[in-house]
Amino acid sequence: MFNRRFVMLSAVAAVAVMSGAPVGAQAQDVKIGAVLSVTGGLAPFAPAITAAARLAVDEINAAGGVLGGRRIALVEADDQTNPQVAQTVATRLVQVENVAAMVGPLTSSNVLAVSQAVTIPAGVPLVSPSATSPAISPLDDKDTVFRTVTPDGLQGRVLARTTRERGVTRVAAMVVNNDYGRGLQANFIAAFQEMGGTITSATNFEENRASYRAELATAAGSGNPEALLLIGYPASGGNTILRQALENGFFNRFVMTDGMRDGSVIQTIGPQNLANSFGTSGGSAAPAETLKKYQDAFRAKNPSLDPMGAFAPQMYDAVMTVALAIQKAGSTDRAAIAKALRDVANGPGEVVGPGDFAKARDAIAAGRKVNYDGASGPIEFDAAGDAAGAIDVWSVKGGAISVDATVLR
Amino acid sequence: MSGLEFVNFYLIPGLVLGCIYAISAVGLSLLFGILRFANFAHGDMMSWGGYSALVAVTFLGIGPWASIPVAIVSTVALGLLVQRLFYGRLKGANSVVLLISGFGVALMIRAILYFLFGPTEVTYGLGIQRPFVWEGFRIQWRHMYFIGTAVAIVTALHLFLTRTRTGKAMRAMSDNPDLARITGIPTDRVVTVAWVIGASLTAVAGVFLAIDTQLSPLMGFNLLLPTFAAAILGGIGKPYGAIVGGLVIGLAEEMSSLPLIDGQPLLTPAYKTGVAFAILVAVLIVRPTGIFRSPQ
Repeated sequence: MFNRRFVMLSAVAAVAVMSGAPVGAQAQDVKIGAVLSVTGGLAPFAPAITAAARLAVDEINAAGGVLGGRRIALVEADDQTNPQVAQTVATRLVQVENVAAMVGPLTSSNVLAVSQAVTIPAGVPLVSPSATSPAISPLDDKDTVFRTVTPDGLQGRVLARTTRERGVTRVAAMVVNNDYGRGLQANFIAAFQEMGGTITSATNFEENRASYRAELATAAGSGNPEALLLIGYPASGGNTILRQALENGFFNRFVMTDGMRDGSVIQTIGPQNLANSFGTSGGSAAPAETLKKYQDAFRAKNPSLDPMGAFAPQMYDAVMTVALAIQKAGSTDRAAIAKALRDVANGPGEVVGPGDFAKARDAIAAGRKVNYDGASGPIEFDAAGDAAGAIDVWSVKGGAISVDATVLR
Repeated sequence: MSGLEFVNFYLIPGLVLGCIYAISAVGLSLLFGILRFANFAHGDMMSWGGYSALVAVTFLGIGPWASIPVAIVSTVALGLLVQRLFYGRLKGANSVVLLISGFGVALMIRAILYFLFGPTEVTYGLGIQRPFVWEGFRIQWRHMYFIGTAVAIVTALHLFLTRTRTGKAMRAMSDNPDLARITGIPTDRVVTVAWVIGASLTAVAGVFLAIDTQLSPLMGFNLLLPTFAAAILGGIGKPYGAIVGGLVIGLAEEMSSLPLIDGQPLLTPAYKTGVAFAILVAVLIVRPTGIFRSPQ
């Protein structure tokens, strides 16, 4: 439609105009691009994730930067949780800002769009802290696409097992219609059916609708489901679905995933309505003392934010591994950085973690091999560039999200 | 599926959604009739109305329903300001210029909302409300108010447009602005009245939407496409048409997931928006100016 095209064009133009260069960037700074979803469906997650990225950059610069004293400059851009916008801003980061590497985007759809259209052709290493779709692993990425988050194969399995363990055998699925939702849903369904569970119906929903009552009625009315599997984001339909499901008595038990692990869900729905609901999300497999270093540093800078907010530790690790890889590469050459990522993250080598940047950099500068074990876990990139981490099983207790268990397999 | 289920879970939600679309589309259509351009900032003005009510809820401690007058005053003020600062100065400019300036205004409003309230979605704090149930028939209280308000608005608007001097002047100006000016209709005043009515309706739609879902700076923008579809379907510039258009689109979207065959929805709900636009295109092929012919 004519009008729609204008909507797109002006949105793109506005984004291009509004997101400028970071304040005070110096010519000799090493630029890392950060494509974040500050607005749109994933917006509630952005503050903690952004804070984690900035924390890592601050620590690196306070420790003296990389490559013999050059500072890291984080060039942030907002993709509005929209793949088209993500492509536009990523193009700007790569072509105009000339970033050495990129952290983000956050959603799987945006990572697929940005990597295929922008970063793989340009050879820019990309590390996403949160894109969990299995569709990212087989990308023909010339070894430039990495993730510090565990792909959804594991999350789907853990969620299916938890669902069965908590006595639910019949589940209706309502899943956001994108790469993340469809990928995770397929993993869950396969594992759940293997464990003797029944999927009574599987529906994909579109984001940002004012009403989901009709599809909820259809899902609740077929096959007598005991719980609703809801894969989505709070701000773009997830909370509306929970609310309408409860108000109309369609469902009173919900099985959720990392996308819905957010305080706004409890604030909107009320903890008493989520008492027997549960979910999973990428957790931290890091030992307690490693984690504590990160958490203390995070809290000192951001007292009002949760250091364990979904994907915040993964973002911290993404920036840290990229910075170490830049040091290892010895230059801002993109291909060399991509090549060095596995080298600094994987064992064997001198183990370094949160808060150890100066030590790690000096070890690399002295020619020693390091093995970064981060806030989210021991970060070992496999052949596809994926890190194997842990999965948290969470539920709502005492008005807040609490982690019941952390599962490694 | 029983008839009652159909009424409870498909017909009423469709009507409720249709009422929100309709109230929003009437405002858009009315302003189009007078100003002769599509106000793309309409969606963001809706968000503005919703957040204005939030301010009243937070600082005056009143309920969201009681905050509607605050939302109306604030949105009307915004509408008149925008008209004075931007649209009024561009009077007679190329329609593409007006369209893009509408976008500019929309982005400014959204930026202000992001700046003041942040991106995190919030609610008026209604929590979960159980519906009113009578003999198996169930409806949310607030949905009864939505439908009642929509009926009241339609009636009031009809009386205004047919019985009052200003209303008649608005219709005349909507039909032929040049002729209206020649016959001595104070066109500037009509523009002001159109903004007052249009912005009031926009504010009501915004508060209703926020009561029914939640507040986010993008909430109104997300409703812009169905609002335009409703207005165009009814014949843009024709307020009555916008009401019919809104109801048709709301009902069609909810009905598209009816489990008629085998307990499966007729159409994957992911394509709900497509339904609205398929209907829009089909109607426009048969009647290129919408159900109620829009002025050329």
